Amino acid sequence: MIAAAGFGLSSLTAAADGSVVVSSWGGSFQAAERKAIFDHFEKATGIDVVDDSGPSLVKIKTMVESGNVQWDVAEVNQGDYLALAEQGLLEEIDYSVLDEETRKQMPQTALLKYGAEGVSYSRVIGWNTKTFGENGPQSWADVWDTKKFPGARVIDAGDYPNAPFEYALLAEGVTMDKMYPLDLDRSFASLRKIRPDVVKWSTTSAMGPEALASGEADIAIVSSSRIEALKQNGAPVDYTFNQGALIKDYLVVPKGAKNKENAMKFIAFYLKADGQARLSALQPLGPSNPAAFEQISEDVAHSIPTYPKNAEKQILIDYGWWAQIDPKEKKTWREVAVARWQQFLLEN
Amino acid sequence: MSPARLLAHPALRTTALLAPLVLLFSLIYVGSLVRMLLTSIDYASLNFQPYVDLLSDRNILHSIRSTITMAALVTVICVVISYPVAITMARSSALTAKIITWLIVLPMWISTLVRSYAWIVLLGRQGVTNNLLVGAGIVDRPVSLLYTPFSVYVGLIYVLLPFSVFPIYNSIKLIDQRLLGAARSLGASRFIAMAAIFFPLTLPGAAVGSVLVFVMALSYWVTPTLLGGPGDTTFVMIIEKQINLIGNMQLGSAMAVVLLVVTVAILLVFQKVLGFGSVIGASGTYSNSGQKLVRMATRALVLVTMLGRRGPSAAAASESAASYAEGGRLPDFSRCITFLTIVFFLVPILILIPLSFGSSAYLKFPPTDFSWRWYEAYFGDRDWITATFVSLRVAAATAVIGVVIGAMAALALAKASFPFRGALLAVILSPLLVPNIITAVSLYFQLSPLGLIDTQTGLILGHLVLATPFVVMVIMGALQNFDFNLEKAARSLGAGPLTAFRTVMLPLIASAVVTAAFFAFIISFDEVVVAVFVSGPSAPTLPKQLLNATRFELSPTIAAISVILVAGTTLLVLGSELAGRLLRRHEAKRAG
Repeated sequence: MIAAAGFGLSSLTAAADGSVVVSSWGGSFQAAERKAIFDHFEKATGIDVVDDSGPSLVKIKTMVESGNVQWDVAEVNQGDYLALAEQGLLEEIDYSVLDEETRKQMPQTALLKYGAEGVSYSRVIGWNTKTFGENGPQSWADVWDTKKFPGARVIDAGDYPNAPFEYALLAEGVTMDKMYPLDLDRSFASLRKIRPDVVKWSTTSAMGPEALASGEADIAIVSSSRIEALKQNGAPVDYTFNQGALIKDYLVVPKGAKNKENAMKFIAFYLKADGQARLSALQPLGPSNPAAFEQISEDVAHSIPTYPKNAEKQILIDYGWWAQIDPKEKKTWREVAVARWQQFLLEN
Repeated sequence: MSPARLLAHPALRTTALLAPLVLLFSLIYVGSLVRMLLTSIDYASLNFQPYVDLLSDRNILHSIRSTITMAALVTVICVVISYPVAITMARSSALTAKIITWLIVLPMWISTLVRSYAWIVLLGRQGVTNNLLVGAGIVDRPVSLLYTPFSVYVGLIYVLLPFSVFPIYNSIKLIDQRLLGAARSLGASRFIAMAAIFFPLTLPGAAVGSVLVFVMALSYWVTPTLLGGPGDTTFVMIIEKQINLIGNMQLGSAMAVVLLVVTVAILLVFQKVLGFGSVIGASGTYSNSGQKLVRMATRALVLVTMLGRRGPSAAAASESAASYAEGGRLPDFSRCITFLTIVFFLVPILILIPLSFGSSAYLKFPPTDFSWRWYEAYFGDRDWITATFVSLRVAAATAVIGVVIGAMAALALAKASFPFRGALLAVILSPLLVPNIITAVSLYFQLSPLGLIDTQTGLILGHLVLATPFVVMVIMGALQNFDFNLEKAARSLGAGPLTAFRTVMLPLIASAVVTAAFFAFIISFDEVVVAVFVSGPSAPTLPKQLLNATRFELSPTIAAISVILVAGTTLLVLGSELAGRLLRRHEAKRAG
């Protein structure tokens, strides 16, 4: 009897603690998350964090539609967040589990109905210092100026999650306050101008930094965190935050997640300032909780995308606009742009 | 009735042989084909608009056309290179053939992802090739090699060439050398003997090789994505974007259906025009394909004769090939091509070795100083080690089960004629033609109710669907030239069907069985799309880990892993070869 009660008790504890399956981006990024946040969460709550990777739009959709939801938390990019929320594939986030301190620190804009902002990253202009020294291109107009900055370019493709349509218009002198509704015709016309100097329209995040480091490209669009790591490792590269695109990742809970409660606790923990500060120290990514900067050294802060001095130089892509329907084609602007992009690649 | 007696009845035999494969496919795959069709027309509304849109879209049609042209060209190049290599292997001593085989399969242990990165290092503007060209004074300035159609072709041929070399090699090995002698003694010139006897008998192998290379070149998107330039977008890349980026399953599925229909149509035409036996889906009995063989021989003879008359070079080529057939001196031409092919296969590996020992945090060639750092990163990380063993285990299971059920099906399909045989073959081959992302999504739906998501069993089942078509193709190719009378003779002498199979047929198709098993292993070992969907946190595979490690950065760990796999498997093969030799010597001593 006592043994049975003891057994019952222990399994009850296990059920109360349980686990949470988190799908993030793998590689060194998730290794840093594990060290900075996951391990601490496990210690603090007794809930196991089970790592998975590859949080794609289509996999979350498949999980929800099949009724077999394997993930409790997924870290998705801004465009995917909007698509998933729009299609009703996400659980509402329960912000009541946030502790008082974090709630005060977090900006309301980071706490959306179906997702909480996790980290931000930045797509910035990078260059090879063997070609341009310290004085590389400082704006999209410079990137498009092949006389002032001659050389091979690697630019994000139109069917990459962070497409170059805004950059092309910034190069033409369009300002961000007049950017939307975005003039796709003009954007493609601008892309046609730079096309002869583009050796690769990149579709993976690794392409740009590697092309710069190996000398394949003289100018490339790169993630600030990766180019910063290469620079510190002695690669002949440099970058600027000027006119970089500041992009957010969202923590979401797929509809029908098996450990929903733990998922909410996990997200609340992820937003805490100290964990985000530890993460930023390992990889220069932007914390969504501004209070994290109090714990980040000045040296590190300089290379972080959301550090106020850097953030003010950058632009914010309006993903909401891209998710709207084009009345003429009856598709989202994103779909229209991707179809036109594929056409753009074929024309000569 | 004993199983052996049961197998004696032809209809029962066919049913029994096909049963495992049909069971596997109906359990987890046929549903996904149906799902793809229904999704493409949105089964609630029966909306055929995507098809109307696709077929009236000039860009889509252009993209399908250019993708097919590219795949066809890759196929032709692969087959043309494969012949001299296969001939050289068949003419060499057993040991040399083994060594050549090993050198050709060596790169297949390396993830296709990593192989593409090796080519990026090799072909870049400041890469090895350009440095050599400039250094040798052949060109003044670096030439554009990377991000051009050239690098796509190089990357694809590098990955796909083994898939045509081995089927052709297997069919050459099956040729009864006395046939060629007989032709000569009947007055045929060496060249006629070659054209009338040798080539027709290798056609089943060439057909299998070209079909495999063609469909893989069509559906491969990793290599063109990483190595291609602005104009090298393939149709499957467009499908993949439609699904992964836009999340539009309907349009993506419709595109995949169009691709499937177009490819099947091409394969049918290919078979009609070239009369390539029943390998790719004709419903024909053995006697029927025997007749076809004669027709093929005549066609090839006429063709080669015409070529021979037209110019001296073609004649010389067939002459040198003929000298092989007669057991003469190994043609220098074939040996030379084989040597160059092996160099081609080894160069990317020779690049990865120094990269893996560099201390720099990114792929820097040549490395400036020596370090074990990336090996420590691999061996020190439990996740990498676990993933490696998961992949090895899943691939081994896929190879063993796949080769058994695939060979059984191939036996039934090669021998018997039954209703819907052609349709069945088309379904068996279709996993090669449907983009993996669509199969992967469907597998998730099929495996979920069975509780097989995030299990190695589920992953093995998924990989079996992708790998078994290779097994069926390769073994059917070998059976094309098999004289089923031999089996009949054995049976009439009192051997049971299993004994007849084991003692008469198996020894003749053994090398095809090994090839098939190896292809199945490699398909599973390098597969990532299905793995991303079916495998979960409990057992991520090596390709999934590699994908993660190359998403934002290219850690030289990926080079270290490649070197470990190449060196490890080489040591394993060397060891077993040595052990085999010692064992044989020991036995010989005991016997003596």
